Amino acid sequence: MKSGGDCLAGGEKPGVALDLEVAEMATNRRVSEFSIIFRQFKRNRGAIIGLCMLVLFVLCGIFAEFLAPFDPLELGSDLLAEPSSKHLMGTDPMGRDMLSRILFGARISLTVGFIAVGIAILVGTTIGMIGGYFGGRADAIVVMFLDVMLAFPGLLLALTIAATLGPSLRNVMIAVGIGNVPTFARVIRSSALVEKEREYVIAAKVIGCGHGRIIVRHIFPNSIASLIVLATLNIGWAILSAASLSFLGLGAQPPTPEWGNMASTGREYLHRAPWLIGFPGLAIMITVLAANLLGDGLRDALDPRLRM
Amino acid sequence: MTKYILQRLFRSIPVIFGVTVLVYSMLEFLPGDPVLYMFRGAAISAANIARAREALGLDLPVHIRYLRWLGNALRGDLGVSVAASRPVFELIVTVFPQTIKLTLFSIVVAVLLGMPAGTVAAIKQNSWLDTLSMVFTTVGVSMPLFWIGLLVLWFFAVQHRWFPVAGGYGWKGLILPGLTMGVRSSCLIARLTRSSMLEVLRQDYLTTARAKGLAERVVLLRHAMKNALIPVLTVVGLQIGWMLGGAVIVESVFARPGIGQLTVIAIQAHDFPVVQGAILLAAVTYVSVNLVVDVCYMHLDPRIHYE
Repeated sequence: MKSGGDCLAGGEKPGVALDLEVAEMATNRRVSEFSIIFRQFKRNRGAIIGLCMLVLFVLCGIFAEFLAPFDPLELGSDLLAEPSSKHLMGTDPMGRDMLSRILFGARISLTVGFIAVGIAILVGTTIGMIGGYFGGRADAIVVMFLDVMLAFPGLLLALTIAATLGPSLRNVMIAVGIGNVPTFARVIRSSALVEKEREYVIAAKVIGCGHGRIIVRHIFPNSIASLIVLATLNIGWAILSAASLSFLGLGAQPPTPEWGNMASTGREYLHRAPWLIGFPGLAIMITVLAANLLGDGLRDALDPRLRM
Repeated sequence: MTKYILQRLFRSIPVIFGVTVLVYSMLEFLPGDPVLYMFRGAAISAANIARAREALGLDLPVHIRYLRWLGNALRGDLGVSVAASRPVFELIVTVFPQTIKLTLFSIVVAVLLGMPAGTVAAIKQNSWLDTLSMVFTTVGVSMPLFWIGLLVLWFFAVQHRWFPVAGGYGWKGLILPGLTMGVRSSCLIARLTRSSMLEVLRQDYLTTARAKGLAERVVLLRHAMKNALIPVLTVVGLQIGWMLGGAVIVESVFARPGIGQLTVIAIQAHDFPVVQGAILLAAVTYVSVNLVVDVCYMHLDPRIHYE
């Protein structure tokens, strides 16, 4: 770094030299921070594997039409055929090709996962921000609301909502999304609680920023790293929950090629056709594993505070 | 201590109240008309439908029905099952012990597998044992519970016929579902025990303990374990709650009678008094378990003071 004295000696205006230097420092720092995160992420073999697997599944979902050897809903004459060269994963009791159904199922499961987490982020962030930022009575209501939601153990909140709304894929997304709201709301709330007392927020208030601007421009950016990590980890959870609800008959209805639903059909043929439950379960496991590995890697690289 | 417990008890009252409001209002909007469902197929007149509504109290406004329901619930009267024509309380009380048995068995399995695995992994960090247990648990938490159940069922009951395919009450009906939930939950417990133990192992007081000549076994078991297990306890409490929810799936897979199976069947039959009762019971149980865990937590960790 050049010293101020050198700049002056070169006959430049001190102000310009100072500006230049500050700008340089800022860019240098930003690049190095990003590269630290990137380097840490690259070093995590699990995270890279997870990312690759997830991308692979997303591509499978997007290009299911081109990849699937058969129509996932087309009834065939080979009922419950064992896996063979013609049907790599066998066929189901209606003679439908399992491989094609699994590929189309990737589209459904990933869509459900992403949308459910999207709902959870949207609602959770809003609620958490209101509670954390405004405090007082608003916060008391938010905390109360979250406590009530958290009183439903595990899957039961999503199950109750799904049962209320009626069995459909759309309702499962809503149910799983709402079931996940407390996770996001709590993280955003605690982050907002801390940040709103910081001096830069007080400074922003002093120069006349409104609540909306402070929340969106000053407080929210602090939570983005945590949000990305939480969202990735929650995609796995969302896919698991959605599949479980479908398995219980509360989600996608036959003949939709949804993995949980397919496994549910396979239950009755456990003794004759174990591949009916084997492949859908494997598909769920690999997708969730990929999301979890990626989430763990991102957490270690981005947000050491969230480390368990 | 007593003051804290009382305060904590007092604070869970509004939560329970909120739960009852949520449960009641949600199931109020269940699709399908319970009265029409009760008479499914039969030709009935509008007058008879109205009479049935009146008998079930379905003609009153929502808040009156809620208050009436809450008042009855406090006295243990959760209404009458629409599908089975029996008191909900009776239905629930018959099967609830089965779910408790399953949960207790599962949590014992989870703790017995998870804690030693996590501790060994932490002590032998970066060894093949550590890698193996971490790979196993990472895969384990990614497996859907119903799938583990189906695989267990397929292997032990269909392939080898060591256990009956469909539930039953006795010991034999408990082992497979208990293992399913226990193994899945042990993965989480092992991961948490490991990270908590690693944290403690870095602390200075362990160096002190070693420096004063204590045997490694004593250092690890007496000094490290004690502190490492405090956060694990919270997760064990949370896992008990998770199991109450997981019972819905496991009992359904193994056709084992219990509160979970009762809920699923009731949802399919639009039998909302039963769904309300079962979910209410699960939530109240969960809140109570958390209360107990919090109190134990304070008892075990003198560093924590609640005002």
